[in-house]
Amino acid sequence: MKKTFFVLSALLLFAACGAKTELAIKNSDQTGEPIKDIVWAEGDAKWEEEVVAENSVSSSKEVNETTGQITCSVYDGSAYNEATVISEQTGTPTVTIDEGSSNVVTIKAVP
Amino acid sequence: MKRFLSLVCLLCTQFLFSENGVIWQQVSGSWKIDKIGEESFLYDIRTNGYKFNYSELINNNSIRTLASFKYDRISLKLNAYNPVSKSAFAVFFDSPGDYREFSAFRFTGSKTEITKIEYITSRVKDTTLPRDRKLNFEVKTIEEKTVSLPYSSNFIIEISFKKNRTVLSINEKDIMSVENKDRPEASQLGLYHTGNLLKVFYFEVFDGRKPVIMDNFSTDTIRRSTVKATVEKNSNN
Repeated sequence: MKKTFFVLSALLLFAACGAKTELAIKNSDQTGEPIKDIVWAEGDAKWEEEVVAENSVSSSKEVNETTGQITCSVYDGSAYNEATVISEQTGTPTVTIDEGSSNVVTIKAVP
Repeated sequence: MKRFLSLVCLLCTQFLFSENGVIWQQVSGSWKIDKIGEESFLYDIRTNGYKFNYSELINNNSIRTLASFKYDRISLKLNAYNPVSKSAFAVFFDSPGDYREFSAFRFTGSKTEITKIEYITSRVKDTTLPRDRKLNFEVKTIEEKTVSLPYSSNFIIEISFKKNRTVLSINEKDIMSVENKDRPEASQLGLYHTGNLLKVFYFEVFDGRKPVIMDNFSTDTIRRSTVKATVEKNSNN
């Protein structure tokens, strides 16, 4: 019994240590625009050419950083500029995700 | 009387600001204003740009004037430092609205020194394509010069436009003079960099004797694009 418990604990510990941290970006159904050129934590993960349409989720990418900023490109009427996603809850651009989990961060861009 | 004086001061400040002040537009990077002692400066906290490929400006960390101006001389003091293996910075001008069109003096170098100055132009390849088409711009080197300049030094860069020629001088020494026949009447201008960090202590622009921009970066006039968002985090183990 003791041996079984030890083996199970070891397996659980191994699983916890080896779990990947993954991130996907969801474009909410209230945005109205696709999100393009997404970058997480200064290039820790890049979605490059992937365009995330309204109410869609991007592909999931393995990340190393659990705290960072989300950057994307926006058209301002004359040019494409880089834009930083500002969290409305905190008023800051910093987002924290859970280590060892599959995270989905939903962006509701306000026009 | 006090209230009247305050009002006069406020109006004077606004007049001076609107006369020689400028609103900057951050195209890419993370540009800030700071001050050490009495000297304030513009700087970018990011070393490298992301290759979004809409333009040379978005690919490098860049900042430009929001409005167009008529000018015949640009003067600025800058310092490039912390270079990585491939380092570049540029002062661009003659950008008449379309952000993919400009001329520039681009400084490139290794990790140890600035080795080359190029006069470059960026042009739209196919004007009929929509603006979200990537890689629809072409950067060409028109002239170049080999140099040996140190990093982490302050340079006073002057660019003057005289009789179809554009002249670059550094610390009051003429470095390059290039032909530039078709200048736009008014245009935007600015800076970009990649593979290094950049500090700019002042940026002055003149039209003849008339100052057009006199910015010593004592106030933050940078307009930054942001996407306001509600970040909802769903995590599944």
